[in-house]
Amino acid sequence: MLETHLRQAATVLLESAIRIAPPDTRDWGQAMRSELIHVEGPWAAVMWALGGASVLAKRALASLFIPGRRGQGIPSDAGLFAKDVSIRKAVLVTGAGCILAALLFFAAPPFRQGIRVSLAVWHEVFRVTASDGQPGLTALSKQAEKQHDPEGLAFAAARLWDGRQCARLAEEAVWLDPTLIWIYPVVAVRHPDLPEISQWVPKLERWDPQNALIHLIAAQSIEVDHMGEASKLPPKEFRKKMEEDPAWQSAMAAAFASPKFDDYLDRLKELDQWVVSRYRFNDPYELLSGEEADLPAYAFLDSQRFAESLLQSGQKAEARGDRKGAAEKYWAVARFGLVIDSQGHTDFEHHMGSSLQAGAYKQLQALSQKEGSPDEAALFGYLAGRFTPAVGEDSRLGGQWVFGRYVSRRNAAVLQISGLMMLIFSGLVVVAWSVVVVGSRRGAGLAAQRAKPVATVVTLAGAVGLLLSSATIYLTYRPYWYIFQRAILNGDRSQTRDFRDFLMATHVLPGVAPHSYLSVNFQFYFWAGVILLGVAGLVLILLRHFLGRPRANATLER
Amino acid sequence: MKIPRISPETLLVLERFVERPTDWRYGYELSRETGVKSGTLYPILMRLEKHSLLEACWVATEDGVPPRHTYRLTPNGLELARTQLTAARQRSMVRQPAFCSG
Repeated sequence: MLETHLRQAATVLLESAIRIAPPDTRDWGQAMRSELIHVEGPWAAVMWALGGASVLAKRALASLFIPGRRGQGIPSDAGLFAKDVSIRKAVLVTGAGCILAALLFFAAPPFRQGIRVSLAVWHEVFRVTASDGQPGLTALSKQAEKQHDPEGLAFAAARLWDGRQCARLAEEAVWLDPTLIWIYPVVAVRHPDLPEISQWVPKLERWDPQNALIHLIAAQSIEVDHMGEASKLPPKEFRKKMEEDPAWQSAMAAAFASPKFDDYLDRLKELDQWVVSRYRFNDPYELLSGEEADLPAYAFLDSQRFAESLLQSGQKAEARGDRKGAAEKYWAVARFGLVIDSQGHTDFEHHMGSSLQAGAYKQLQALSQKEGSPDEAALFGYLAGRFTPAVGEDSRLGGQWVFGRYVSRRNAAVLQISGLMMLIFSGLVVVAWSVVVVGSRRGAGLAAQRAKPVATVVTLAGAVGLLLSSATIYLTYRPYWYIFQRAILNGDRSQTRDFRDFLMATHVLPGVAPHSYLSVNFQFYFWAGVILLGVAGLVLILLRHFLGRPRANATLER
Repeated sequence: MKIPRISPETLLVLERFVERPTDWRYGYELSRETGVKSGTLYPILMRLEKHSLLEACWVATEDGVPPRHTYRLTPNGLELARTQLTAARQRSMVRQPAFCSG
C-alpha cells in the first residue's frame, strides 16, 4: 500500500516537473519518467524522481533568466564537462539581483539611519564611539566655532553633556547674535550647577522680565549655592533654611506673580530645523539627548514648597478671619498653575500646573463652603477634581505611548539582529563569491572546482539573506524615521517617547535587560549558542560532503 | 588540443560506455552501475548529447510498459571518452606516491 503511494507520489512529482520544464528538455523528462517504473524500491523511486525533478526545475529557472540560451548553452571546450554553466549563471544572476536590490535600499534615508541605529550597540561594545559619546555634536560645535555660526553654537550648547562647554558655546553664540539670549535659560535648565547662571539671570530678567521660567532658574541657582550645606544639615532643616532665604522667597514670589511662562522650546525647535538642514545633522541619539529637560530640575519641588507655604499662609489668614487675604493666596497658586499648564509644552509642565491648580481649588472650595456659597464651592470642587492627576498619570510623563514599550523593545531587538545578519550575509557573499571566482579561473585546483557549486549556492543564500535583512531593517525603522522627521523638522514631539525608548533599547545587547549591562539573559545566549553550533556543524557536514565526493580516479585505478 | 578537465561523475559514466561501446544503455542501469544519482546523471547525458558525443533513442520494450530512452556514445564521443579516461589515469598515476606503486 505504502509502496504504491510512494510510487504514485514520485510519478506525480516527475510529471509536474515535466510540465514546467522548457520544451527542449521535456523529452529528457519523459526519459526519466520512463525509467521510474524500473527503479527498484519505492524510496529509491522517490529519490530518482526528486533528482529528475530538480534537474528539470533548474532548467526551467535557467530558461527564465537566460531565455535565449534555453538553459543549455555551453560554448567552450573547457566548459564541456563542467556542471551546468547556465544554471550556475542563473543562480549568480539571481544573487546579483538580490545584492543590487539590497544596495538600492541605501538610497532610502530611513534605511541609512536604520543601519546606523542597528549597529549602535556594537559601537559601544567594541568602543568604536569616541569617549565623549557625542562625536557628531562635538564636530558640529567645532565647525560652528570655525565659521562663527551663532545658530550652530547655540544648537550644540543646548545638547552637549559637558556643562562648561555648553556655557562657553552659549556665551559665544549670544556674543555673535544677541537675539539668541534665550539659549541661556535652555542651558541653565540642563546644567543647573553652572557658575555662569548667576551672571545670566540679571540679563535674562531685563530681557524677559515677565517670564516665570527666569525666576524659577534664579531660585534654582540660589538653591544650588546652598547645596554645600545640604550634607551638613538634616533635610527638614535645610528645607526650612532655604524657604527662609529672602532671595529664594523673592525669586519664587516673582515666578508666581509672572503672567507668562515660556520654556523657549518653540525657539529651540526652529533652531533645530535650521541647523539640522544646514549641517545635515541627523544622528537621532545626539539630537534627542536632553530632550526631556524642559524645566529647572528643582522647579517642581520649589513650586510645590512655595505653593504649600502660600496655602498655609492663606489658611492662617482664614483663621484670623481675613478671607479676602486667604483667597488672594489661593488664587496666586491657582493662577501660577494655570500659567504653567496653559503655556507649557511638555507633559511634565502640564502635570506640574495641574497639581498646583488642584491644591489651590481644594482650598478655594473649602473657603466658599465656609462663606456659604454652595455654587462656588461646587465649581471649585469640580475644578479640583478636574486637575487632580489621575492614579498612574506620573508614568505617562515624558509623552504618550503610541506603539507601547513592548513594541519599541521588540522592534529594537529585530533591528539589532537584522543589522548583525546583514553584516554576516555580506561576509558570506564576499567569501563565497571569491571561491566562485577562484574556481572559475583556468588552471584552478580540483578542490576549488569542487567547492564552486557549494560557493554558488552560498552566494545565492547570502544574497537572499542580505536582501531580507535589508528589507527588515527598512520596514522596522521606517515608522521611527517618520517620528524623528516629524519631531525635528515639524516640531511634533507627540511620539518621541516611543522613539526615545526604542533608541535606548538599541543601545543594549539583545537578551540583556534595559538599563543594565549586567543582568544578561542566559537563556537567550544559551539558545543563540546552540543555534550557532548547529549552523557551524551544518557547514562542516556540507563541506565534508562536497569536498569528499567519490572520485572517478578511484574507479579508474581498479 | 588542450584536454578539458572533467568532473569525476562524468568520467564514471564515460567509463561505463567505453566498457561496451556498441551497447545501448538505460539511464537507470547507468545510475546503478556508477552510483551517480539521477540529478547528476541526466545533466551529463544531456550535455554529451547536445555536443553530438552521445546518441539517444526510444526503444519499445514489453507490452504495456512505456518505451525507454537508451544511450550510446557516437564515434566522436568514444574517441573523446578514451582520451579523457587515459588522461585521468595518467593524472592519478602521477599523484600516487612512489612507495605505493609496488
